[in-house]
Formats: sequence, C-alpha cells, structure tokens
Amino acid sequence: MDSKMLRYVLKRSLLAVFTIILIITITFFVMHAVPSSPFNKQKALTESVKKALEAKYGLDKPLGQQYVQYLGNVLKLDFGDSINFRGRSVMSLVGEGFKTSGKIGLIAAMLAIVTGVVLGALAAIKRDTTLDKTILVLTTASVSLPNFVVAIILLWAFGVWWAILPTRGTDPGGLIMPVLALMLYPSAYITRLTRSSMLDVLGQDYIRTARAKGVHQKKVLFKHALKNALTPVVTYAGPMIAYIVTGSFVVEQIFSVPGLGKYFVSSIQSSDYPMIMGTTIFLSLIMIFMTFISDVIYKILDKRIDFE
Amino acid sequence: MKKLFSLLLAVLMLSACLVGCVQSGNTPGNNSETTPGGDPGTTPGEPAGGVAQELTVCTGPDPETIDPALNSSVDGAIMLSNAFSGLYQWHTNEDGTQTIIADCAQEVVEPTQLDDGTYQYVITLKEGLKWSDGTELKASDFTYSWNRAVDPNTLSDYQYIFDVIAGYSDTTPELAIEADDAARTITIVTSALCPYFNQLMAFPTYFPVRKDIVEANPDGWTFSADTYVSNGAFKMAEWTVGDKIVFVRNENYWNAANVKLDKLTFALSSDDDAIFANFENGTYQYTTRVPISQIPVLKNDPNRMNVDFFIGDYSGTYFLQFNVEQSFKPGIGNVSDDPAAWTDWTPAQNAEVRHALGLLIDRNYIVDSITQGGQLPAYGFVPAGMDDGTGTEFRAKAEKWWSVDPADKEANIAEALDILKKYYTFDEATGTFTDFPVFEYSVNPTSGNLAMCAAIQDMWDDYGITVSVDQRDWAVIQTALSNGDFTMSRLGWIADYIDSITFLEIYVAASGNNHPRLGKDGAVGSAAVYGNGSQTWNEAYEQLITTIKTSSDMQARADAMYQAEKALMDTYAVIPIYYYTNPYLAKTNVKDFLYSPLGFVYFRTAYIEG
Repeated sequence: MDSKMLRYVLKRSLLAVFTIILIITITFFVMHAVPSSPFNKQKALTESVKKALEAKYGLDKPLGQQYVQYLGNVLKLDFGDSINFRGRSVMSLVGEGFKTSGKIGLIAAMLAIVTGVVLGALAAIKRDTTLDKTILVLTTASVSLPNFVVAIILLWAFGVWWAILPTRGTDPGGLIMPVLALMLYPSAYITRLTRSSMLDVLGQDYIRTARAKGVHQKKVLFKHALKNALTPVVTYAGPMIAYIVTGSFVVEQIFSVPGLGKYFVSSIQSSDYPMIMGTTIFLSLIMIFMTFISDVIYKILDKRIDFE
Repeated sequence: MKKLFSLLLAVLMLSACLVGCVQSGNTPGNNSETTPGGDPGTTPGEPAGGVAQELTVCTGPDPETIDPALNSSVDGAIMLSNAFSGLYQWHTNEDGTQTIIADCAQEVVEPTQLDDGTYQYVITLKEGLKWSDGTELKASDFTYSWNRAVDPNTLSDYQYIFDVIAGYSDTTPELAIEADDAARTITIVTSALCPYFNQLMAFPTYFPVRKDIVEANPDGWTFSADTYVSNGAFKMAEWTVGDKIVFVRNENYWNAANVKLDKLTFALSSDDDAIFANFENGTYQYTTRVPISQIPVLKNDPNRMNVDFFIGDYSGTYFLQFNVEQSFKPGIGNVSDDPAAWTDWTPAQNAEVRHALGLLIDRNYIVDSITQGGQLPAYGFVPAGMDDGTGTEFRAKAEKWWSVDPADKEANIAEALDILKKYYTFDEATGTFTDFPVFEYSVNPTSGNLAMCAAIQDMWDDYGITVSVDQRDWAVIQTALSNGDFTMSRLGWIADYIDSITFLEIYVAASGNNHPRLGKDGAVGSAAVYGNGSQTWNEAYEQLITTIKTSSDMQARADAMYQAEKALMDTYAVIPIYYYTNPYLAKTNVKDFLYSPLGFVYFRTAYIEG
C-alpha cells in the first residue's frame, strides 16, 4: 500500500466516524420527535409500572442527557437492551440476525453478480439474437416484479404445490428459495447494466484498434471490453451488497428466516428505541464500508481514477 | 421471435396445468402428503405403536417475553399455558362447555367469609409436586411469584390482574396471601366475593416461577432451556430466536402420565401468508394465524370448514371510540375541542350525534362482506359469551342498544336521520347534510382496519358526513389515544377473564384505557349530563364500578353491571361494531387440544391420531 493509498484510507475512516455520529444524532432526535412511546400498550400499564419502565430505559431523563449518555455508551460498544424483546441486548439480536442475513445475503449477492455479468456480457456479444432478446424479456420481468411477489410465487410453487423445497429458512435446504428471491432483482439489474455498458465499450475506438491490431477475439472481449464495462457494476454492487446482507424484511418473513430484516420494521412500529438506533447504526456501518470497498475496486479496475 | 413466444406460452400453460393438477389432488383432510425437506416437528422413524407424538404449531413470531409475570400477549400466554401449571386449569366438559378444575391444587375450594366481610380461600396443593428440574414445588413458590408480579419494579403489564386480592395497590402492594409449606396451603384473602376468582387461578400471570432461578438472572432466565424451569405439561428444550421454541414432555408434571405429546414445537413466524403456506404443506399442524383473505374461502369450502378450519369463540369487541372533548356542533367546519365550539352546544347533543353515527353503520354488511370470519354484529359493549357473575349470559339480559336485524337497516337509518335533522341542515335534493363538521378516523393501517375504515367512511359519506383517514403506526396511535389526541379511532378489547367487569372497568376516569376521556379532568364534553342527570360521570360510573368490585351480593353486582353498561352506552362514546371470533387451523389428525374463548390453547391432552 503506497502512502497515497494510506492517506486515502485514513481520510475515509475519519469521514466515516463523522458520518456515523451525524446519523446517530439525526436518528436519535427524529425518533424522539415522533409522538410515540414504547410503553403505551393496548391494555394500559398502571402508572407506577410505566414510570418504572421509563426509569429502567432512561426515558425519564431530559432528551439532551439521554443523547449524551447514548453516545457515551456507543463508544463503549454498549447499545443497550431491546424494549420489545425484554432482556435481550441489541448487540446479541443484531449479531445473531446478521449471522443468517449476512450468509444468505452474501451468497445471493455473489450469485447475482456472477449470473448478471455473464448474462449481460453474453447478451451484449450476441446482440439482437434470440438469446439477447430472451435475456432482455426475462430481466425486464424480474426487475419489474416486486420481491414479495416473487417470494410468494416461489413459496407456493416449490413449497406447497410441487412441495420439492422446504418452506422454512432454518430447515436443511431452506435457504435455496430465499437466496433465489433475493438475487433475482440484482442479477437482472446487473445483467442490464453489464449489457448496456458492454455495448458502449464495444463501440469504443480502443476496441476497434485492438481488433485492427489482430488481437484475439477472446482477449478483446475479456481483457479490454469486459473489464472496462464492469465499472458501473461495481458502483451498483457496493450498496447492493450492503442492503442485501442486512436482510430483507419481506423475504425473511415469507421464508421464516431468522435474520436481521424484520428488526428494521418492527423496531420502528413498536418504538423500540434502542433497536431503532442499533439497526440504523449497523446498516450505516455496512453501507459506509461497502462504498469504500467499491471505491477501491474502481481504482484497481481503472487506473485513471485518482484517490485524491 | 414467434417461436420464442410460443415456447413461453407452452411453458406457462404446462406449469399452470401442473399447479392445477397438484392442487386438486391435494384435498384437505388428506394428511398423507409428505412434507418437503426436514420438518422440524416430525422426524421420520416413528416409535412402535403409532405416529410420532410430535406437533408443530405456529402462533406468531418470537413472543415479547415468556416470563409469566411479564407476558401480556396471547401468543406468549399460549406458550406459558403449556409450559406452566397454575393452581387451577380450564377443562372442557362432555357437553362442550368449559369449567375450571384443579391443577396444582387438590381441589377447587369455596371461600369462607371472615368477620371483617372479606373472603378467604385456603387452597391446598397436591402432594409431591415438582418443578421440571425435579426439585420440590412449594406453596411459597406461588406466593413469591404473585408478590413478584405485583411489585411495580418487576414491570409487569398485568400488575392490575391482582387487584381482587386484599392489599393490592399499584405503588406499594402488600397482597393478603400466605403460604404454609408444611401444610402445602396457600391462603388468599379477597376484599369481596369475586365470581371470576377461579379463572384467575388459571391465568398465566398467576403461574409460579422459581425464586432462585429468577433472582440469578431476572432478565434472561427465560431464554435458555437450562434456566427455563417450569411446572406444566411441557418444558423448554430449545429457543432459537426467530426460528422456534421447542418444548418436550415434562416428566415431572404431576399429570405427566396423561400427556401424550413428546414434543411441542412453536415455529416462530409473523407473516400470515407464509404461515398459511406452511400449514397447507403440513409443516405446521396447528395455527391461530389465518390470513384475512383466506377466511371467506376456507369458511365457504365444506371440505375445510369444521374439518381443518374452525372459527372459535373469542370474547372481545371491535368498536369505534370518540374523544368526548371534541364538539360536533353544526357548521363549525371541523370537529373541534375549542371552547368556542361548545357554546350553545351540549355534551348530550354530542352524544345524540354519536348515536346517530352508530345507527348509520350497517353492521351486517361489515361482518358478512368485510370481516367474513363469522363475527357477530354488536348491539352493546360487553360481547356475547360474557357472564354477569350469576351464571346468566350478560347479553341475554342486557339492553340492545340498536337492532342488528338486517330487516331493520332502513329503520335504523331513518332514526339516525331524524336525530341529525334536529341539528344539521339537510339538503333534500341530494339527501345529504351540508353543515356536518369534518372529522378524523385514526387507524393503524392493517388490511382489516383499513377495509373497515373505508366501509364506514362510505356509509357516512352517503349522507354528507365526511371523515378523513388518519393512518398512524401502532405505537404512535396508542400514544395519541392515551393523550386524547384524536377524534375517533377503532379499538379492540379482549377479555382477560369471562366476566363483564373486564370490559366495564376500563371507563373509570383514572383508567389508562379510558381513551374517550369520560370524566377526565377538564374534559369539556364530559360534563354532568352523563350518569343519572344529577351526578357527574365520575360520581355515577365510579360508584357503579365500585359496587361491582366490592359487592359480595352477586345479584346487586350484576344489576350494577347492567346499569354501568347503560351509563356507558348512553354517552355513545363507544360504538361497538362486532364481537370477535378467532379463526384457527388444525390438521384433522390433531386431537383433543383445548381451546378457550380467551384465545388460549392447551396441548396437554392433545395427541396425533395414527
């Protein structure tokens, strides 16, 4: 790693810390600005129990003090206990959930990238053939189908009618359907991205030059064209991976996958403050990290891009 | 291109055909279909003598807690009811009626009246009771558990469920309970005769917990099979968050010999459609979560209704509630709680208007076309199936506040229009009121609530009464209701026990559930007209509820309950819509489980038929 690179990494890390603090601050105050309380239940709690609960979770203190305390706890990596899942720490819930979501997310993301790049490149090379058109039709359909529709169709077709795949994520083989449901959209999107970018590159002068110089077709396509065509894919893949490894609410619900996705929604619905903060910070961290990774890959793909 | 299309078409047709074929072959009630993949509940290799006695059920996602003192959810209560055993338990008689019988107790006891007018129950435990880890279960375990649950620092949602016991207070409770471990007796003193006392002894908050276990890890003892020591038919074997809670037969349960299931797995899932798919392919054999869209389909299919789909009783009321501080004075544009909106307009007139709004709602249409789950149209606040404490069904004797006979639909509307025409300008040409103020319908956006909201909106809109929809998340709406920051909202109330007081007590002024703000300090719209005309709401209603809670004369108590409902219904601050039902799915080979109208289900006697 040269000194330029090192400086870049340092700069990005500092920026990341600043971003996280900003996110914590905004989330914290917006969350508390919503007129809501985790302790207003369908059957009202007695006043004394409600007061004791507020004291337990520190919600009886002034907001500013709560904020300072929260920041202090975050520095100590203490994210508190969930209110909705009594007695369980945010860290353990997010950690356990991420184990599962991260696993299926990574598999889905990798498969999406591989199939997307391969199909996209094929479509570009075989432009205007039946193959190209088939890929185009299928990817258009996949991009326009929301993933809950895909998930429900998969669930009923393979899980109930034909009954050839398990319907719960934790059963052996149970991750096949959630992975399929998760990868469908990104793989279709990457296919289209690769195809158009590849077509663009194939029309460039340097490709013509390479061909004119008698460079072998394979070498032209893979070394010159595909490598350069991948830049937009990398841009897309970074945030895509960040989203996909932090779990999909819909897909995890439908295939009963004990992942992270549900907490993003349920914590907000129930005003589970520590969980809202924990999940938001976690998503931000992953997002910042993935953006950084894709920037580095950029540089490797295209030497013209400068870290400054 | 043409070729491609015909190929696609052929594939589509083939798959549609396959789907159709498989579906029609897979008739309900035929449980021989193989389950795909590894079903967590039924491992192959049946024991000699029949099918594996293993059942997988789904009642929802991870419960908030399965600590008996802390739980307030129905799904948590179902798990607790299978893992723990209280002093008493529910039992289904030969004729299908349900009664309370002894569980940990030797027998159900009658109270004796003490000199000071209080009542004393002396309950003796069975001999040789044990916890699931084999240690002795003592009378003092029960008293410890109750004192713990009622302590405000334990943070129990159900603290108030102990209010029948003498010495209850939400700040400094000192329950009049005493244990004698040598004699195995628990002595309980109630300040009045309580007709639902026996039911409380079967209620999850009254289940015993182990002091040493709880104190060693107060927040986390329920998370692991090692520390989740219970005393019921099943004990925990595993809890994997987001996946499942596995219970196995508890050999130390006093009646373990009659528990037939070896394994009871609660699969954790929150998506109703996914749960339904897992029931259809046999992964789950029982579930209380049926998608709303499937209910009418299942109900009208003779191969499903009362075969593997059932509509259970559920003691609860779905109703609209109004904030009584909001004035409906004609011509003010929007409903308002501004003092100016109350000049020349009285709370009694407001109540009349709410009555008319209620009459305009066609409840038969709602239960037949919207909810479609066998719900009953409501004609009073206390739901069908509740007792008045003397053994009489409350609704059988109580007043009907309007007719729910479909034939009376037009008469109801005519009555409503007559009332409204007294105050509002009616345009005969369009058949609508021109100066009825606009108001908000606050609702948490579930598909059921929104469908209901749209229907009611339409029924009122026909007469020029405009309602705007105010959608808010559950936690947000709960806060708004507590603070009186709403005009009208929907609410459901489910009984804690089968006695009408569980519905009536929520409208005393101090109650946190008194969202309409009846009798609350400074509630403009809640003035003295309620009650009997000369008393304030507080004086009138509070007195009735006090009578109900303190009277040991069951007839006087019942009379006060009928009067209390009348007082409440006279305000029309609540407009009941329907009485709940509880649809559930159970495979035909799952036998002898016990379903209670509180929504609890017990598997201690259940078995899988071979």
